[in-house]
Amino acid sequence: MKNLSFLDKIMKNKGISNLISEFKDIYNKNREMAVKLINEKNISFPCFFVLIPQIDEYQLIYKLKRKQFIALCVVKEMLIKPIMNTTYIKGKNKNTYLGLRWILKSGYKEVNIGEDYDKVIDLSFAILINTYKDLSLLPYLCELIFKRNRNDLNIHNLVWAIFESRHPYVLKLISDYLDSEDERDRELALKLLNIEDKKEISRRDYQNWLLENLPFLSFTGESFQYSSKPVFCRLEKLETGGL
Amino acid sequence: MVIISTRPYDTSGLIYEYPAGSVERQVLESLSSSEERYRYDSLEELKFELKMRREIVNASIGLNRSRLHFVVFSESFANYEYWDRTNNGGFKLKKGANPGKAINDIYINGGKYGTECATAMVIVYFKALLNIFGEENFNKLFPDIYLMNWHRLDPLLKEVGIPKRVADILIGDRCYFSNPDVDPKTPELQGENVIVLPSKLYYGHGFGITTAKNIIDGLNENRREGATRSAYFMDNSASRPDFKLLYNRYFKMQPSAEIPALLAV
Repeated sequence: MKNLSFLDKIMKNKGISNLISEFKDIYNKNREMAVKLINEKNISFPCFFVLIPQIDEYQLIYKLKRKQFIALCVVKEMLIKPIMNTTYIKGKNKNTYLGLRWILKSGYKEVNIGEDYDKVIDLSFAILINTYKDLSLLPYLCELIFKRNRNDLNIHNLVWAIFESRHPYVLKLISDYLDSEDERDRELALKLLNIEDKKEISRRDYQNWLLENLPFLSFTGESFQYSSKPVFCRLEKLETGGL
Repeated sequence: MVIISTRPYDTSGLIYEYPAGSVERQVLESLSSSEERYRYDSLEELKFELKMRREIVNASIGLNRSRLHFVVFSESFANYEYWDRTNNGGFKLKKGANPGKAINDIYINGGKYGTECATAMVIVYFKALLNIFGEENFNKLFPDIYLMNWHRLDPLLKEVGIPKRVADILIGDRCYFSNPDVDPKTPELQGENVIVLPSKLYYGHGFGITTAKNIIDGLNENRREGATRSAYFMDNSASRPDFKLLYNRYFKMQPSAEIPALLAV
């Protein structure tokens, strides 16, 4: 709570609808204060995202600091249709990179804001990992996949994004969930690792096997759009020992 | 080559039971001219597969005409008279709704629905089965329908979600165009699921009924900057319903004397 921004505290304690109504009150009483609060250094992306309609309505876009301004432009580009004619999320750009990092680091854990929000998070992960090659985000992405799965939300684009990184570290991250106490985590880990017939395998067993067979693994590019049982990666040579 | 009850079967007589250019005849010609051995327990089982492939093609053409929208899962929508939209973007049959009428409604009121390419393929299979089994039997077979790409397939249809290596691509197969260098901004265009139609055409939801070249060109327009790999048709894999399993269910649901008539041309 100590490090939360003023607006984040309202959202955390009173919920999204109260955050919006209190922000409107603040704006009506003191426009400069509203601008100051939305530009607070420690405001989170989820809090910022739910206030975007007010930022639009009050025409605050050109009052935003760089981080918030970039994030707003990125969100708008991601949610327009078609998404092809873009500026901020086209190619590589340092400011966009920093904006996307803020979106994810302060916003990836949130799963209850709505499908537009989820779409922004999905695309941010896909772009940062696959265009900017920022593999430091893989643990966050993996965490979100399992969290969304526990909430019965769509994980297909996130799963596609994590395997598109084509990094074996992904398999290690997923295998951490083989020892989860939550049955849904274990089932998903088995499915993503293509070992659904080995229900008793432990994280340690898998990771030992992974270590021995790492040089022979290759990623296939298969996804949940292609198959109900995609083979995400396979061994190019005979494996060393059985699983 | 077609094998029925362990013996090679000469299809030349059967072929002429179907009109020239019909789906059944084209499929039968492919089966008989292939080096692959296509095995059936009975002639009726073979006819059932031919009929089902025809209905898959018809259901594809019908869905293409239905004005069903192409949208990503996060924007999917359905006619809420028949379907509940789930949190993951799928459609679950409403409690008490008639499964056959709900599937037909997608074809009648396509404009009230929007989904992506894989779910459209599943709708095609349900419609084909509805046409073959009839509404009463269809409703007995599928009292709970969940439309969500390959994710929650009914056990009777689970094979359509699992592409396998095949010797021949046949009319009515579900195939895939892969787009390995897709732009991360458009993950929904990482590939395109299609039903193989006659005349070297394909039905893919979002692309419509078109040629392989048009689908590849469309996917290539959505590649990342600096992409080096073209989209391509995966010509060695396809998924097919378990025709034998479906035929056995069909067989059990018919008064035995009527089966030959039901499978007639």
